[in-house]
Amino acid sequence: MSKVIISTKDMQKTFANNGKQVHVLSNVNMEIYEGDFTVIMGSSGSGKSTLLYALSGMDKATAGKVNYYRTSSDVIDITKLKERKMSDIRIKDFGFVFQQMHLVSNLSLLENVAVSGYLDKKANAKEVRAKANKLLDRMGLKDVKGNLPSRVSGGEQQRCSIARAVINSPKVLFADEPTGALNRKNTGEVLDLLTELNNDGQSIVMVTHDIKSAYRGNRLLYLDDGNIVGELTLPKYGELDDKGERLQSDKAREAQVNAWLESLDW
Amino acid sequence: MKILRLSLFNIKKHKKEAVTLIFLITISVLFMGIAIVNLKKADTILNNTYKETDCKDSIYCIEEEDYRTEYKEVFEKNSDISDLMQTEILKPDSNASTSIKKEDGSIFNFYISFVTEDNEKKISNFKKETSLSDDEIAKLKHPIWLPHYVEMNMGYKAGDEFTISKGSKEYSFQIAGFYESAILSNSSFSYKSVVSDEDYDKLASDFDKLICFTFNVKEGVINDINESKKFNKEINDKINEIAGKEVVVTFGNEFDNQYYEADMSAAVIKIVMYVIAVISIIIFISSVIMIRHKITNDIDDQMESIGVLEALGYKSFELSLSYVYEYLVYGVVGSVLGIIIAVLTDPLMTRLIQMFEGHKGSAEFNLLSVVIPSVLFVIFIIMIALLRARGIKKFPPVIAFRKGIRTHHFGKNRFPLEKAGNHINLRMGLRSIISNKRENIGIFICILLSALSISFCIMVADIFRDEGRGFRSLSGYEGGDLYLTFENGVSAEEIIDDLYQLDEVRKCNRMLISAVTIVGDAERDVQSIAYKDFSETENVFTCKGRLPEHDNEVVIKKTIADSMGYDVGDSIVIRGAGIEKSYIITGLTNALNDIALFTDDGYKRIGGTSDTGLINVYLKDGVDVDEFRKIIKDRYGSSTKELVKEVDESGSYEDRIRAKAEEQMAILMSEYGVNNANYSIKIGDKVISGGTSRIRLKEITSLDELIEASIGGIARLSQIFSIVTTLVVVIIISIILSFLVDSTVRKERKQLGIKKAMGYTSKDLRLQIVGRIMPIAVPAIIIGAIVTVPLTDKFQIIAFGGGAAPRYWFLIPASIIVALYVFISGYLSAGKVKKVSVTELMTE
Repeated sequence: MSKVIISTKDMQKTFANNGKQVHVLSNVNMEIYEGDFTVIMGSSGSGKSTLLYALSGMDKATAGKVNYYRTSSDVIDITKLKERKMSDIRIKDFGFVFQQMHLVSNLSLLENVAVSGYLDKKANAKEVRAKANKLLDRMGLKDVKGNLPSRVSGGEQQRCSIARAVINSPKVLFADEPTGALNRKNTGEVLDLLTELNNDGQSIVMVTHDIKSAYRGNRLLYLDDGNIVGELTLPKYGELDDKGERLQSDKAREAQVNAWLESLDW
Repeated sequence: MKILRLSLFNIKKHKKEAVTLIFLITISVLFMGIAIVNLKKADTILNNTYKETDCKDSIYCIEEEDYRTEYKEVFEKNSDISDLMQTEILKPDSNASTSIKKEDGSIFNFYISFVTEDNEKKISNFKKETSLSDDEIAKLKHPIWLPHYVEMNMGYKAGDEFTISKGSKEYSFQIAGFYESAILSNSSFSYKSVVSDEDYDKLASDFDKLICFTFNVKEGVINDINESKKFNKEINDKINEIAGKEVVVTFGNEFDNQYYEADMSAAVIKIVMYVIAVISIIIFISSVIMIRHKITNDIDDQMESIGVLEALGYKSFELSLSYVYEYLVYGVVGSVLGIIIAVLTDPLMTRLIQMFEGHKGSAEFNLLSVVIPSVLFVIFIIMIALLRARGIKKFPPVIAFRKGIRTHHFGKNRFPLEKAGNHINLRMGLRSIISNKRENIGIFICILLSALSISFCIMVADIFRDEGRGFRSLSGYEGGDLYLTFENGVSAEEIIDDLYQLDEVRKCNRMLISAVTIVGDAERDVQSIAYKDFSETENVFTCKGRLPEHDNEVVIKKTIADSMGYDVGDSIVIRGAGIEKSYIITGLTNALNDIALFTDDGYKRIGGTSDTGLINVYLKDGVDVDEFRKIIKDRYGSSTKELVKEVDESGSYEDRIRAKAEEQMAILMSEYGVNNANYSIKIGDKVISGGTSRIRLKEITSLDELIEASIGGIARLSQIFSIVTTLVVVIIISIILSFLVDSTVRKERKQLGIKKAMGYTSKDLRLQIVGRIMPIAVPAIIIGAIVTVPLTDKFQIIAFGGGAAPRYWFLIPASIIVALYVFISGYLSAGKVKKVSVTELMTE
């Protein structure tokens, strides 16, 4: 049984719109497990991104709890955290990848990655630079790491943003539609990268509405009307059997996910 | 119309920024209007006072005992003189000053002269103003008409009691009303007041009578102070020729009263107005920088909308115009408000200047003086807006849709972070400074000018500190704790020897003060100050050369030397008491007054008498000055002034008899020049006796008191002005920073959100924003402080003809405080970062 890393209890998120209360998330109870590639799906406006932002502490839930299990004995309700403490968690424990990359425009790709590293006050500057270089090399950005974001492609930007998100070796990597703004080739590259990270043990929580992206996960959650209404567990993507063959082909995964989604009126 | 709608939309969208800009433009126009209008008033109020009161522009007075009827011919025969009239006035003799005794018993130095109504009408039209009816005036006991100065600055009103004290005597009047007197209505030459014929006759026994000639000098004859002095000398020479001796002339220098009376007050008003104008320009420059900044940010902010509008068919010029209209609205609204407030506040400003100058002459409000700079301001704003908004041309629809991505070009990666070590935030700040260099140059100029204004105001406040005591070193007088003046016939050496017997006394020296003339093409009358030995002085300095050591040496004021073409080492001829002697200039001084410094022996060469003079007493540390005054009074007798008060004090019958007798002794000495007299009064079996031997002291005063009486008012006004100006500039700095930070946060909202997502706290981001301002602000503040030093020196030369000693080291803590203020103000303004939420990135 995998270890729970994040759990929610009766989590709600409400927005005020023209004086009316709009309940985007209502009494969400869920867990995120360590080492999983969790994918959150749902129809447009179902609250996927809102849920991701609430889980990652980027936004605060209106009610309920979001517990982060830093260690087995250190459980933190991130809805109650002050900015400084939350900032500390963002630096050390959580990484975030945005759909629009959101790189700092006047920093080179290397600098964008390194800046996050420097935020960890215990980090050694030399080590951070070395790690940033290594990460960018691994992401295939060796030749462009000195460029500014406006000088590289969307895929390169997104890979850089993933490097930025993982430079501090976060416990959980959150990704909000990381391939939403990318073409097919770049999408494949980014998903491969996320899969590779997950296979190396990185816990990932990703929001997507793209089936091809979704089946990269091993645990799929379906959100509807502000609540989790479905869950599908798959073998890890690319996981091999005893004979050294893939446990599940892409086609089989896609079909299983499609069937699951159809059962949920996707 | 559609373009105007876009402008109005922009204004509505950024209401706070719009209000800030309009506020700054309003203040800028208002200040410039006030400065220009009142700069003119500083000169016109006195001129108009002359015109409106039909006042003769010159007066020449000779003591009655020296007067000879033939003198009149000197004036009658002078073709440059017109409207000649002969009149007379009463003034205090040279040995006693006059004071006002207020209701609470306090005494205020007030130099007054008296004239009858008929004689005043030979000087001016004597236009009276009063709130009393004729019947009420007729019932007044001793009616007096006082100059408006007394009403405006001292708070007296018609019907009030007005008591003058001179020596041991008091003269009580009731104020009938006030009138404008352009001539002889200032602290230097007395406040001329009109009394009834009966009172005038009574006062004539206690005051010196002067026979005066009033006249106008034909236009073009006197154009500057040198011509005025030359004109004066020609008349003096002719009168001396008739008299066969040097005749003492009083007020003879007032051939062009403006040069004397208006000089100080008008100069101070003008400086104040120049400073207000500079502040107006600082505010305006700040507004222009904000406008540039705002347009750039607005274009960035609205890039996609610009693309959409261009795609819909708007021309880039039309879109540029929408910005121009927006700033036209700000400029016009701000200017109109500024003009309205300038018009509304003009009566108040006029009143303040009238109070300061002590004259109620009219001052016109020239609307054009406000409108023209306002129009220029608006035109400049439009030009800046147009130049800046032209940038839209660079963005055809496709590029605009991409949020101007083409413009995100950085030729060189300056301050690469690879080399940052642990100073990543500093490098990021520096990079931001370089990439926004034009904007930062603007901020630099704003902060530099603001820091300069604040530093300058602090120095002005310091120059006028302690009611003007900063001018001690400019007086040319020794600045001990007390000045003692003794009756004639008392030996200064004897007194000084006696004073040294007192434990409280650290040092004594004597000053001999008189008037001499520096002879030349344009002669200059100066105050001569002589000391026995300058090595004993502590408050007399030269700005060049050294103090006199021998009897043929002199030190003169630098500005006089400059105007007459002299320097250290040159020989000059000085005349005093009709004797002319040559002296070598050994040094120049920056003193406030026109002075010449001699040794005692040097002073004697031109007829200076070595009578008692002023004895300057330095007390040891910790000695209470007021306590020492009592010791002096006990030792040498009370001053004649203070005896008046003592008579009123309750005491035993014997004490009161003694006090009254000593008052009479004081009167004998001060009024009749008696050196020695004794009294014996028998009351029953008891005899009370005493005499003048106990009453040798004439007056106790101090340099500080003299400075207070002379420039205390100007000092207070200057300090208030400095404080108000500093506060205005401080507020402006806050507004500028708030505006810049607001617009930076708006422009970089997304970037700030990303940083928050990465783990930066609001505090980190606020520090980063301030970190961009401080590297610009700190050099600006330092340069501002450095420039303040020569600026203050120049200001002092222009304003006072000399330099006080402001504590320039104050600029160091002041600059640190300004820098801290900028930091705190920027940090607080950056509080808006708190509102930037990471969730805003979701909408992207």
